[in-house]
Amino acid sequence: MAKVLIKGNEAVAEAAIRSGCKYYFGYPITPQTEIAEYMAKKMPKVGGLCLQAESEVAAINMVYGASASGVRVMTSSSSPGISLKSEGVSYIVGCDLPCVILNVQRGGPGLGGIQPSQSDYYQATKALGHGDMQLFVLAPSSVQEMAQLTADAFGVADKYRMPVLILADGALGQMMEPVDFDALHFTPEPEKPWAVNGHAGKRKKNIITSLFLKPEELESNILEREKKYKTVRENEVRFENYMCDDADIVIVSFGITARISKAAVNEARKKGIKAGLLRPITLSPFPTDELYRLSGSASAFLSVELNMGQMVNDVKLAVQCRKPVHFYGRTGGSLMSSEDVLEQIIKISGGLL
Amino acid sequence: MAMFDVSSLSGRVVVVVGHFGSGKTNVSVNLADMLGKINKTYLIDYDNVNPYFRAADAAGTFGSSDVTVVSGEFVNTNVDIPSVSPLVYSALCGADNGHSVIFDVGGDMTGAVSLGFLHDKLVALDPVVLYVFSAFRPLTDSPEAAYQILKEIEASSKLAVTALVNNSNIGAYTTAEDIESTAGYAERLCDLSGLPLLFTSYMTDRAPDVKGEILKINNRTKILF
Repeated sequence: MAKVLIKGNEAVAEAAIRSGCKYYFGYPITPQTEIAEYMAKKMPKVGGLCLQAESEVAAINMVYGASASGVRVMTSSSSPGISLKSEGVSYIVGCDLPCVILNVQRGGPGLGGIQPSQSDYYQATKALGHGDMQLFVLAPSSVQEMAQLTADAFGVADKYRMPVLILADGALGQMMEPVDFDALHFTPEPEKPWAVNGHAGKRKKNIITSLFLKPEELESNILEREKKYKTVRENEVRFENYMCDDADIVIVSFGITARISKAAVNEARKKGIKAGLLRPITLSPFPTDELYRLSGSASAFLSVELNMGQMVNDVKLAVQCRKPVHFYGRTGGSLMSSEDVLEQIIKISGGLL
Repeated sequence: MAMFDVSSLSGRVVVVVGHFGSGKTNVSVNLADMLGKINKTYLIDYDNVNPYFRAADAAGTFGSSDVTVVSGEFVNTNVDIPSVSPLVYSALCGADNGHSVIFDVGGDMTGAVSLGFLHDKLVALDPVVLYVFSAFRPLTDSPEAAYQILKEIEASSKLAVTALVNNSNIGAYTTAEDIESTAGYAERLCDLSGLPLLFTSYMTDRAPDVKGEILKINNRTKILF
């Protein structure tokens, strides 16, 4: 399997298996069902397990248990199903366990629709569960990247013992692109001396819990985790800077929308408008420092998203009111075109150039 | 290699099956366009699984070709349940009048199940059942894997495949050499199934140098953005 034509959903599943993920627990929901389909066919062939749980809640708690035993494990769903998983995700964070969760976003709120969306940005980056908690959030923007970031997700999850959420969308999940699996790089699975997998009388027992009997113990546990988050913020921020350094207008866009925005940037440049694209690859931690740096040279920012304006607030926080930050988005399952984005760029540049 | 004569399918019921992502919809849309230039053709979107990319998307793109697209009423909506249009049966009745009818049957064996209720009508019309395969799909990366899916679809659809179509491609990046490299795969699948290769489809500028007949098709897949 050198180069194949593959759906984003299938690419995630194949990359997970190649990353040494032996356990998949899920529940079907459009537009991510191909993952379970693929796992069901492939896992038995690699000595792994694919199990369709009775619900999303059950699936995430199976992930919780499997991760506690020290194996690489993942689950996937789409927006409403991710909401159901949120309690379990919080428990996994509270126990400092690694796992990979994929959200192939569809329109919401509620049952919403089955067409692509990015309206779970807040949920992914601010509150996928109760308590003082953060996830590591990756945003792929091609099928090749769906595969590579899945491989990366297992490495980061193990390194920091934290859940990694891959925030994709229905378009990335469903569309087919060539993927070269031989070009992927993988992080080997580390030793997990903390795992509850039987001490055989040879070591002290490990306990994995998110319950702390004394308030001071809980506080110090949270403070310890905060140190970890600080390290993550310092070391793991990832982004793509596409022609931003001389740009007057910097578009900030992630995932599928970044693809559309990049085409608009190219068109704007042809018209003599200096546009650039800053594409966050990690949504949490967010590329705050890079955006702040660009706010010194750029005249304006435009956040392009498939929602009513969510990431735009993180852009504003990063830019610290030094430059105006605009927003353009579509929602409910509709995609914008590169012409739509170009129109916004021209509108903004009209006030600048 | 010789060009495949599409008119040999004119006036027939052509049921296109295969593993999802092999290009059934694109092959179906191309065949419909070609057959619609000969006589009235019905293109039936018989995909109850794929939420985004379907034959119904091609409606309105056939120009002077006489193609009527028949699809379920919930296609491209947020109604996420399988449904079959009652017009499917009407279209099949058109086959009695010498019209061409193409079924684009999505969703592997699961999607093919609903062909069952048309079984008696279909069999009476002696359909051409084409199994479209691509060697560049991960779950059909060997002839043996492709053959297993063929048998699954036959079992669930209650129809016997009559011929194979080699649609091996990696999208716009496909080269004629890529297609040529699948010749051995195609031969092995013919041996395993005992079925003939009807044609090898290609979208490349240069025609692939392969045994059997070839058919130039265009990329008619919906562009999302």
